[in-house]
Amino acid sequence: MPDHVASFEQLVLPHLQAAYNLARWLLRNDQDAEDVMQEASVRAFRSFDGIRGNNPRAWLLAVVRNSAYTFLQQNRARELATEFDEDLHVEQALSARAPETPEVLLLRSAQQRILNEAVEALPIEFREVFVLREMEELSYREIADVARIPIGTVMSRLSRARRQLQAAVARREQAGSAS
Amino acid sequence: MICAETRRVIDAYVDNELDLRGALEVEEHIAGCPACGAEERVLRELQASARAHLTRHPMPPDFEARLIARLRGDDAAAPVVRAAAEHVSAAGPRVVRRARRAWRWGALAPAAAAVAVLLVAVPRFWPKQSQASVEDAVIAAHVRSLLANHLTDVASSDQHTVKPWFQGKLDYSVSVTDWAAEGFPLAGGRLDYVEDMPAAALVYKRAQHVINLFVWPSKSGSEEPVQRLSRRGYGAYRWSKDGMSYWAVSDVNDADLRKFVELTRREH
Repeated sequence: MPDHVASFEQLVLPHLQAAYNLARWLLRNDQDAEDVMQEASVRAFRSFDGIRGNNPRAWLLAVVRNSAYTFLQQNRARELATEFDEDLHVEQALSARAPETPEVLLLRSAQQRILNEAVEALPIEFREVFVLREMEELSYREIADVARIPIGTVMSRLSRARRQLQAAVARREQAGSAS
Repeated sequence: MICAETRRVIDAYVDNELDLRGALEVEEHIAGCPACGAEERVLRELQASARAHLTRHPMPPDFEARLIARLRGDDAAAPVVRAAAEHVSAAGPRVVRRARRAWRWGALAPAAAAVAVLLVAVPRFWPKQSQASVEDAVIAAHVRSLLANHLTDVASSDQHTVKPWFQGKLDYSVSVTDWAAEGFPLAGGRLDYVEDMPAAALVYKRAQHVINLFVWPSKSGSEEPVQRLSRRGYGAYRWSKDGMSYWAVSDVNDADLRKFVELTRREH
């Protein structure tokens, strides 16, 4: 087996799960996430040139993130263009959701479900910094490199994402205890 | 430190992204301010909750195996791309640079295309960059470098350390000179972003002040004379030479900054 296949498998593939998770959070459904991952993995392999920088995980996440954006641009451009309405956006996304069965609700705590739905409802540029920070625990510098935005923008998007989530979660919990 | 300042950096504080001095200032403020203390607790709770509860979506079970099978079968693909890059490079030096860029940023090139599309399609998110917005971006980058723990990525007064550090991170070469003898010692270098493009930031000191010299390939490619600008208490000089754009930004007095600009221009 040629060297660069071996080193790709050794350096990059350990981060495949993290990359899939990111794609799934950006695209919000399994089929699209799988398609984008297929395409991104092959693209990553073809442009793989030995060790990429010293951070193969951030590099793979960047490739997948870019593929996801390209996919959205071609197929669901509206999601990229949505102007963020501070309150409406999250509320609408939450109320549009089909009610879950009692069994599912029992399996997943209300808090968990509310938080996941609220993150899903964030506009993509807020969702991506939040997921990269809280799920991948990337530093601001790494997030800046993956998303190709300045560190100051990482900081402000993360901050806004958190304020939105706090507000959405608080509203949901209030509504839950009232009903 | 007042509440407004604390709120501005409290996320960075919770994320351990502040330098020691900044973190101590926030800590001290929070100890005496219940409102900011509550904000910190809420942030930490959200963070803990997100880390515990966000769904980690599993890959389809056979995804990795299928991918490996495909890579091993599809290995011929990589040499094809390499050969294409070499073929293009026969066309001349300018194209070589482009070809190398395409290679090095191979994976990011499609993203650049996507960003280009976004620039057209989503003007609200990606406003067209006028000179004023470049100025804002450069000054914001300067301020940011002083705020968060991010003045330098490579801290060195040795130009022979700083210059090679940029190689592989940028697709253009940046000349680096230490002006210690002239009173502007080199402190290091940093990778920054201006107009969504990676830019080299060379960091110099003048007594207690910091000078950021930003360098990136100019878009027009034309020579532009030195222009002086000032905004928000920072002085800035910009010029273009030999296909590169330069911005020097600092809060030092204007005479010193001008002297620095003259030194740099003589070199570049």
